[in-house]
Amino acid sequence: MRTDDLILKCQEAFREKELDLFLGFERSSSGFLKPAVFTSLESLEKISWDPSASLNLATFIPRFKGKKVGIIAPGCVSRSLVILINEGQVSRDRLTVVGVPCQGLIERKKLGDLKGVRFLDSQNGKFTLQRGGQIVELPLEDYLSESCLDCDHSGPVLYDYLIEGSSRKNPSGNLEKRVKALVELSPGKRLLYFKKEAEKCIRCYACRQACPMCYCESCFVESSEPRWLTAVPEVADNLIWLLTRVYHLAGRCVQCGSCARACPEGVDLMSLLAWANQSVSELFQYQPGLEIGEKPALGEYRLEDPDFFWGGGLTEGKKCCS
Amino acid sequence: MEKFEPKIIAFLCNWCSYAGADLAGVSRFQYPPHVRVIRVPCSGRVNPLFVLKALYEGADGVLVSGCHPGDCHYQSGNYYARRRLEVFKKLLDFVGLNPARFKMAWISASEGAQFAQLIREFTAEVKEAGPNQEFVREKADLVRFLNENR
Ligand code: SF4
Ligand code: SF4
Ligand code: SF4
Repeated sequence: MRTDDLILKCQEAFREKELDLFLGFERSSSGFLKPAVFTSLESLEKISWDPSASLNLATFIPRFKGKKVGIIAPGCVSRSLVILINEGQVSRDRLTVVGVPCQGLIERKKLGDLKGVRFLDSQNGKFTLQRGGQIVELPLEDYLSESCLDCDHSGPVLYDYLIEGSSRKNPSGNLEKRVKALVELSPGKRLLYFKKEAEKCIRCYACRQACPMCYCESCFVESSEPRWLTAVPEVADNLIWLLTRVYHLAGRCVQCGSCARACPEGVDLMSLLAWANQSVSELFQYQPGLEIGEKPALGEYRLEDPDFFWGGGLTEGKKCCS
Repeated sequence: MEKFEPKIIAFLCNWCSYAGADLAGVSRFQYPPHVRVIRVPCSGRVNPLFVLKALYEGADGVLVSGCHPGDCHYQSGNYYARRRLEVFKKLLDFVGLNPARFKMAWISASEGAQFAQLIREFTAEVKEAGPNQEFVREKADLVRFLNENR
């Protein structure tokens, strides 16, 4: 994928679809891409896309209700868009998607201290940084974020324009393995593991802010009546926060890893999210964000859903009122 | 050790399970007295946060019970509850909460005897699980728990 092609394609989309604004990335002063809103054809000359990006851009979509918005989208972002359409957060005809290939995104926490580090370029499975006056070339594979290593939908599932190029293949399966290893531990050990993860959390809510599926105008953590938990980042409170957020994302999370990359403390959000999705897919045979028109898994039901309730199973002759 | 008397919170739907509990009472069925009932309009009304909040405030066990599938007063509330609570329970299990602490059940208005039976079983299970140290908010307890298990 060449940046020139990207610029031309986005400009073409902007012009043809008479867009109000376009969501993309531009180079920041440190060289890493930062999210940007482009409002004119000229400004789009700065649009860019490479593995130094981090945020899932679909996160901004619900903020621009009623506007005609363009967006660049690799696989995971396109799946978030499908969910946002299905959940009524944006209408398909106001949305213009430029599908882009994706080689995975860098987890900046793997780069260590970022002071004085500049991102220069990425090509052919490598990327270059300037660090303390030196230019270093690093293999992309070693620095990708966990969700990208595991990605099995790197190509866009929804687009109006498409930029050709190769996307990452061969998901590592690491996350699945970690979830499996956790499941094999005793409950006590798992509790300890997640309490330690919860202990790290400082409740900055960066994960929520970075997540396209966390678009609630008022989130349960800020509710004061009832007040579900205190603002104090203690373990029990943090567990409620992490668990409830993950529950809200069960069957909705596209495993883009935007939240995990945004988390300053490196809390293991992905194994919780992967488990939640896995549960939904095993129980209800449901994959998030692949089909327009689908209802959220927890927003519908089937009569023959599995039943683990005490006294359960489809009952005959147990009618209470007859 | 002092005898452990668990605190159990039961969210019962107004139309079936609450009436079932009432029937257990008027029929004089015996069951352990550890349950505090909170009446909700429907099992579908139960936000999983209710369960977490109860544990966080010190409950040792939480029960959610509603009308059997097909019997919901609002036609489908219990079907939604079934999906949501099952996923939620899987999450609780995954993070290592003792599975005995959270139970889901169907109890109809005519099932007084079953209600008593359910409470007997659940109370025994929660007693077996012991006091809730997993989710409660007292910092001192948690710090001790973490230190002991490091
Ligand atoms: S929870 Fe995280 S991985 Fe899932 S959609 Fe939100 S940002 Fe992406
Ligand atoms: S954590 Fe839950 S309530 Fe808060 S923004 Fe996300 S989905 Fe909404
Ligand atoms: S981003 Fe990380 S530290 Fe911040 S609230 Fe989320 S999990 Fe906690």
